Amino acid sequence: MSGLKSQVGPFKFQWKTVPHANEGVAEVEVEPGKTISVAWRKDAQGICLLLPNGSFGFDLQGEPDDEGRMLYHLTQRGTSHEWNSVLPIVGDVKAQGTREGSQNKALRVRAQMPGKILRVMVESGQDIVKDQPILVMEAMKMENEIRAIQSGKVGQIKVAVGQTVETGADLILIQN
Amino acid sequence: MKHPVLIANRGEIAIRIAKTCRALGFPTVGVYSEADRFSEHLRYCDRSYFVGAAPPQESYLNVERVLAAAKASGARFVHPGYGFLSERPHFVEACQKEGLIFVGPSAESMRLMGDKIQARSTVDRLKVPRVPGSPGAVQSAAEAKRFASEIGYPILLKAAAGGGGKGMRRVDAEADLASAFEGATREALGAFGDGSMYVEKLILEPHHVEIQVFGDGKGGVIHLGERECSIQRRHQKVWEESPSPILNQYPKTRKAMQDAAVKIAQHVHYAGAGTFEFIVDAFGNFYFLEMNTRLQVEHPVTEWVTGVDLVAWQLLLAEGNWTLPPIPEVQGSAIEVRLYAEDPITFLPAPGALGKIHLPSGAFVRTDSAFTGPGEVSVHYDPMISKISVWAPTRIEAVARLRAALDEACVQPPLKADGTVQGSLRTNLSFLKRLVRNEDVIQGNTTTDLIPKHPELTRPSADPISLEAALAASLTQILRQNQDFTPTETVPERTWTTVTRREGLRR
Repeated sequence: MSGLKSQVGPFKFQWKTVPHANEGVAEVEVEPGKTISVAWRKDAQGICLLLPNGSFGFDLQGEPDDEGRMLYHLTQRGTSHEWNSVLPIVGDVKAQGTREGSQNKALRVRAQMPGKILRVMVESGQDIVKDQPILVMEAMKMENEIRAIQSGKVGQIKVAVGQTVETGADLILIQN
Repeated sequence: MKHPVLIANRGEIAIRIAKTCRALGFPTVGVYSEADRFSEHLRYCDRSYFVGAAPPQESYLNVERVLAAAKASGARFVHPGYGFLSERPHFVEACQKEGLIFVGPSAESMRLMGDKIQARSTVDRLKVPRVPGSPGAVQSAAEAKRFASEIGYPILLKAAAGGGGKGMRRVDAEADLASAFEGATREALGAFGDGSMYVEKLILEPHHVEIQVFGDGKGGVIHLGERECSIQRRHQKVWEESPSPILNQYPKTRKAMQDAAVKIAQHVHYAGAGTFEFIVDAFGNFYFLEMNTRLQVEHPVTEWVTGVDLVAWQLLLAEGNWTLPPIPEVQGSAIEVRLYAEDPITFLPAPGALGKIHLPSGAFVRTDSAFTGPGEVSVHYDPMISKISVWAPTRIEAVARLRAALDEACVQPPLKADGTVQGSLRTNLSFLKRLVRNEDVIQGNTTTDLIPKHPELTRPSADPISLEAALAASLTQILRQNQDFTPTETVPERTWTTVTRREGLRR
């Protein structure tokens, strides 16, 4: 294969040489007829780029979505720029599917920190609206009201009053 | 030869105190809990003593163990920092009983001013205005309801023993009072072991302004200007500055507040650093809120504009033979922000492992932090990562300097080899970067409801991605899929894992 395609948002890239290793230089067509040289160095938290218009550093944190695709949180070092849920598609764009596939799945309300469930204010099957309080959790000595992140129907309730939960534990599922 | 100072605290404030001790020639003694065996503050102390398990009640709040450490170390002075034992009169008395000098006010003035209900009657006697409210603690929702209908809604329920927004509820209508009372009482019981509440009128469009005082314990008291701490989330300060933008509009109010603070502090023969918190409304009326009988988190702001090292004054006063200096002149403008391990949108604490930290530096930029590299923001303690403060000749320049400093800062959780996040650490850095760019903040329209008034501050950024960022994301993903890169640094593990391994190798 000569080259590799990738796409992020509106940008479509055609890599003339396939990047590999932690450090390197590659030629990439960033728009039809415009090829630039990209030098990079990966580090523990992200990547540094040297481009014709200057040097840039980014911190990247990956989080796989329900379909195993990697979404990135990007922070541009030394600036206030950051981007959430950036989905880089590499290779054949169509084969990767689109983001709409995950829209009908249940949304998980997860514990943001370790704590104890004090109250559950909803029942399974109940219709709820966005921002409606669904449960109260005690963490860091504070009572924290957890609210619905979107409207929908309460699916499974994964916790009980008095239960201690860890960070990231599923609390409640919300169905669209 | 100076006598040793035991620093009965942890984190950035223990380091900040130790730095001044060392500059003045006081030997330093640190204490640590199980969670803090490798914490940064111990490296600033000449010797350190273990005081117990990670929960504060077992260690930093355990009077017997802290005092045992003081005795074993031969310390003469005990500096409590802020939080923990800093405002407990019984600790002051226990220190005295052991022949130790508590760096702070007497137990008596702490009782008079530290308890909110006692403080209010003292303040009333001195005719300092305060927000209308119940004269004493109320024990039931019905009693709270009676006071609320007298002073009118909205009201605020506040824990008598409280602080830091714990056990506090805003109530807009009578219908909500019962459940709010119940929740606040439960929270206060859990946090302070005391569920008594008081009721007060909620001032709309308020500014939170505090006066820093310093007393010599013999009735001599000076003020060191004010700090405005109006910008708060979850009733906790996140941005503090001096001089106060609202008092710049009402210089007479500033003078009256300084006089009031000094008058109260003189009345109780206050010793050391103390802070009087006031609410100032849009018309320049001010109301006494409470007194904090300790060094405040935001004291660097005062140190910037006055040139005074407040901890040095505290230590020199404790040592004796020290005369209160004249009132320092306030010069320029200083701002401090608090970088927390918390969600930048919900402001819920999000402590966890720390992978990378870079704090700003440069001309007139100060950072107070207990983190220099990979580590852990403990779930057991306050999740503050750093205070970042700046000084400039004018406020507008200080805001600009802070903006540049915040853009320089970087705090990231560790990453696993596959590039995904390890642990649950999030920070409010992106929020602070938005805050410093907010037009009301730049203009100095700093009311306590600034954050709810600007929902864009707590919205995730929706900027269109740049070409450079798109290239970075593409490259990272390509390299990840090729799996032909190895992480350039080993992913930091939990401290204990590393230590156990090291111990194992040694044998």
